[in-house]
Amino acid sequence: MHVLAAQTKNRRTLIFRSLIAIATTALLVSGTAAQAAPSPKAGAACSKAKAAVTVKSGKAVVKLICTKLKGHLIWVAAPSPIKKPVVVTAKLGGNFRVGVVALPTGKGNPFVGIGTPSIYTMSAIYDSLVTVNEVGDLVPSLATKWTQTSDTSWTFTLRDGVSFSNGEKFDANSVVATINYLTQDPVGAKTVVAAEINTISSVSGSGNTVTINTKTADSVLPRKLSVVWMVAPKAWETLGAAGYALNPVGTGPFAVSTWGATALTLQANKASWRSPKVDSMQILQIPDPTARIQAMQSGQIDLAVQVGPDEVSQIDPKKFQVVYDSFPQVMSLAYITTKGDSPLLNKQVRLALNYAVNRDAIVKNLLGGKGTAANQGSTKAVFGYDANLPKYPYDPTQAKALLAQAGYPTGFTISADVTVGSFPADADIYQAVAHDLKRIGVTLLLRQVPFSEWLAEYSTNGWTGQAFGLSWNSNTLDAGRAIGLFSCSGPGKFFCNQEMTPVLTEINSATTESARKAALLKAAQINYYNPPALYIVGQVDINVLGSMVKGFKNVNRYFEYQKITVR
Amino acid sequence: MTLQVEGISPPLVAPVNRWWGYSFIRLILSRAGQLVILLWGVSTLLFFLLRFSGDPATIMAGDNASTKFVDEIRVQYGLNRPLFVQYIFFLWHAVKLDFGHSLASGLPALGLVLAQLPWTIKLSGLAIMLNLIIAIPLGAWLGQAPEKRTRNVASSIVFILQGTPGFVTGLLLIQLFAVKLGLLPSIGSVGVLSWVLPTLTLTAFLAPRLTRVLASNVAEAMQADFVRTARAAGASELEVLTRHALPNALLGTAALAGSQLSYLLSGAIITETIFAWPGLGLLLIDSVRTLDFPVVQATVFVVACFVFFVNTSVELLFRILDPRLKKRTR
Repeated sequence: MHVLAAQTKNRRTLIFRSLIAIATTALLVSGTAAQAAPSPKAGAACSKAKAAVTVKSGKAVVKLICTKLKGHLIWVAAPSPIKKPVVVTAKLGGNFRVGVVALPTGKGNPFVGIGTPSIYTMSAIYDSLVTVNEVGDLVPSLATKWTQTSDTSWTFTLRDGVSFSNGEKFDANSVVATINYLTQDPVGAKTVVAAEINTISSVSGSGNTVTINTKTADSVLPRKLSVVWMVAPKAWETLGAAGYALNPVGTGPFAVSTWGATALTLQANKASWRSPKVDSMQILQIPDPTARIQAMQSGQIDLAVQVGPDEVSQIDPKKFQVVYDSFPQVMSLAYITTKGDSPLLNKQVRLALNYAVNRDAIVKNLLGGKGTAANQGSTKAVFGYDANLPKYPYDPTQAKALLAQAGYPTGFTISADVTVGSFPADADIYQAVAHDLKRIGVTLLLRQVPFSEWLAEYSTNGWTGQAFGLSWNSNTLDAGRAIGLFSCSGPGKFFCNQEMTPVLTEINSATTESARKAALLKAAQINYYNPPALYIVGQVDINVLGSMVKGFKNVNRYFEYQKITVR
Repeated sequence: MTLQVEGISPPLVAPVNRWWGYSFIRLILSRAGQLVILLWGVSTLLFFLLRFSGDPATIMAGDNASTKFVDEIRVQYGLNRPLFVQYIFFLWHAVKLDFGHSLASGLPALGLVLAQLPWTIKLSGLAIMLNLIIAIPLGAWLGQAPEKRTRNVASSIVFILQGTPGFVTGLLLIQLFAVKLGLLPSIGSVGVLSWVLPTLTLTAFLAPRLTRVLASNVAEAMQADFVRTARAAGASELEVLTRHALPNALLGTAALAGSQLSYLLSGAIITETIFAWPGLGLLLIDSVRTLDFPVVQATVFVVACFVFFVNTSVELLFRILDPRLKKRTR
């Protein structure tokens, strides 16, 4: 019986010791032990709990601690071994993933879309002759120099050593072919990009010099050319517009690998003059802003483009980079003065409404303090912006006084068709404006319409209300465009101020950039004291980046992808 | 030991005779005629609705374009011609399955639609299957004894789910499985895992309704005479449910399951938008936004054909499965 008991006890001891050995091994191998612990030197018995010893194993230095486990004292590696200084060097390469609202509707055809959303994709594939920076200055791109040789002629010097992603050389022929397509081809001349450069009469060139002639003086032609992406002539001729749409060839930092319905995969164009630091890039269409942020939070994208303040409030600012940039676009309510009787026919009323809106509160409360209170239709990135114009004061008393002088002491009611969803917090901003106007007795009835309906009304002056939501913007970042829209001869013909007519002529006939700027500033003054719109706020773009992304810069939604690293 | 009562469980395969084959062909021909009328009606309605929704020339020209420029675009795309002429032109080409080229990309409209159709069909097929897998046992369980407290609670949850919009379900699923747990991707269509959340979202759109209808049918069947007879013959509750009540309840419910395929597109639009799924729903939204008439017309045409095909197939299947319907055909 005793023998049996002793054998059983021995067996139990054996099992127990085996378990201890397994547990110890597991601890040593596991992450809890941080590193595999080499055996301490012979003779260094583990006899006192919490005793520590440092041992060397190859190049590693490991600290061991004597720990009691199941009644036995054993050596285990300390959770925090002696640290050696680690030098982290930025490793280039990797895949950069961007979540955008939409891919270009015309796919890779660079002439059928302009501005947002196509610019996010096109700026990865293509280059234009010049670009415009965040303060409105022209910056060399494929052209390094440009001069106005006469009122109607410009000469551009092209960058040397640039080639397209298919190996074609970029030179004067590329520029001539691109511009000829937009001015002479029956299809090309009817594209949205062609509409921007319709003053061009001819183009010629050889080597790295191009001469562009215009029908009339066009002092801002280089600025207009910032929206014309250059295509490879031979590839364009071979593929045609539809083929090029699926297989675009540009001089930009990336070349398209696959063009899916909702995802675009690009490979680095290492031969590009803007050679990127990452190996590849993906542009993913994620229409819903919440889904874009969720994709960012779950690590599926590195950049969520154009999210709203509500989405930003969902994320942890310590884990992500939230980048705010002003976008050259001003949210406004445009006044309609050419249809029927309206209180807005009165200049004092138009001014009064501008005094009645608390723009600073809108910026602070609805745009997280990142927007700008608008006092004109331009922002600082737009050519013709008047930096000397004072802000409209928020002064409901003065606004009421102006209304009384205009014969509306108790206010009035107006309605406005607006679109929402294209500007951060735009629906809330319109509501805030309506709330402020109510304080001076003006009831603003807002009617939300889809963009197609808005555009139909805009193009035919088919408005039923007295105002409508309009973002003052300019694809070419020139204030002349919006001033033209608000003129007596504008395409929409919804507003007319005869005082502006001679100034507009002066703007359009200016033969030099300085003369045009002087005329634009004159127009800005007129539009300040006799406003054609209730200016609200300058737009802010909110982009969210992963913590590892470096080198991101948003210049009027033109991203310099070549500078971005993701590791 | 179960008593088999004649007439309770109809035979699933009916004998085929010549008269049945003749009526079957006649039915197919009649449905083909209906398809032509349906497609004409849908296309005509859509053609005029689209023309009243806005002018694509203004979108193509941009808001900076002059009136002259917009007019020139109208001429180029034939949008300046009288509406009736445009309609005849459209019909003539639609008969030849030529919907023209996308106004935005210049690519063939039907080609764009057919390229994205498989994604929607596969997603819908998966959702329908999952829908049946969930709804049939759940509906049967709920309908077997609806008065029990647990099933009452479960019924309430199903009721709430039925009223939950797809975009809420989708975003909640993303928040849980992609953001919090990091288990599943929330965007794109690469890899098996990317199918999980869109399928679940679409299923959440379908399953609650089917479950409730089935539960109601089962509950009704459980009160029927043949169930009482089966019980009296000594059948267990499980046998009563699975061999008598459920087969009878399923026949009526299957009609709903078939018609649910028709509703899938509306669910797909939401699901595909949230999950950036490259299907017809997203294509439709994008083309409506840009007034890309040819693509919208081609999409709706294909969807109408698809829905008709599915409904007709379900109907024909029912005529084979249910002898009562076969008799009506005669």
